[in-house]
Amino acid sequence: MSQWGVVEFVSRVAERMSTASEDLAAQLARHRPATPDDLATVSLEALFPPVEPSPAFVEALRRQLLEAPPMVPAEMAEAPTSTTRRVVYGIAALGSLASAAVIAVVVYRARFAPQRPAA
Amino acid sequence: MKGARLRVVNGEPDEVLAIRARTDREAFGILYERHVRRVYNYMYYRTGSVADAEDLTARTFFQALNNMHRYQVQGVPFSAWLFRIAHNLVANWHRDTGRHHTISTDGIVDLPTDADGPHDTAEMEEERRELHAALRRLPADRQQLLILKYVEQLSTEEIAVIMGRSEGAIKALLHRTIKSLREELSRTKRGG
Repeated sequence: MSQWGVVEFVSRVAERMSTASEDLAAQLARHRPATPDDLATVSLEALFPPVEPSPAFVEALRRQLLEAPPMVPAEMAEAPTSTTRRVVYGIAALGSLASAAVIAVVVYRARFAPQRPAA
Repeated sequence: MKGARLRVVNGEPDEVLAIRARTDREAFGILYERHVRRVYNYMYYRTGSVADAEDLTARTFFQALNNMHRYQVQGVPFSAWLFRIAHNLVANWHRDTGRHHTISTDGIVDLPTDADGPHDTAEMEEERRELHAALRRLPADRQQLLILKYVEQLSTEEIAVIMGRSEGAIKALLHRTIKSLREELSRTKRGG
């Protein structure tokens, strides 16, 4: 077979394969039954036409967003620093010591305070 | 994420812009322009009111702006992340206002029809109203699912992220919702 013969043969095979696959796709499309999903899509998409926001709203919100002050990430704002943590622990420790002292005084008085003679 | 779609308009995909938007307000502005209409549309159909839709749309974008540093590119498309914020805000709104039947009726009156005559037009209008009434009787999560799927045309994968469920659960819920909608409509027809 000459070179042109081979080229022509390959081109014809390619064309047939392409036509066959297009036919198959078309047949599949024709014979594929409409699924409930297809029907739902048609009905529901028709039921909910796209609703556009007013251009004034879009522009105003865009301006507000672009001009809003930079925010500190929430977790950084909320996370206590090591200094804050130390102060909080210190206050808690002092509170505990004070409570313990009050309890000790009450117990001491109850045990060792001079008892008044009964009238 | 497998099958994640990158939204590319005017150059950079959403996910690249989202990283830049942590420090670059203009990048956030581009993301806003790309998504504001879809978020508004979603809010409108979830609240049934222009004023509430505007308020919740604004809150969605401000919350997104303040939380850009939390957005992780791996795994979640930006649109799904944004709609998850919108979903949480509208869920809180429903909880606070105690409203459940949210699908707006405003849009259905002016729909164009392909009907041939006045009788067909009236019949189609009646069918739409029945479908609408059936939709309003659905539980809130099913209404939400239908809006995300058929109004916002999000993928099952994105809806799964937004609603915090697996893709399989979303597919099953969609199937059950459409089936129950059909049953509800045939009951209405038989009854009327």
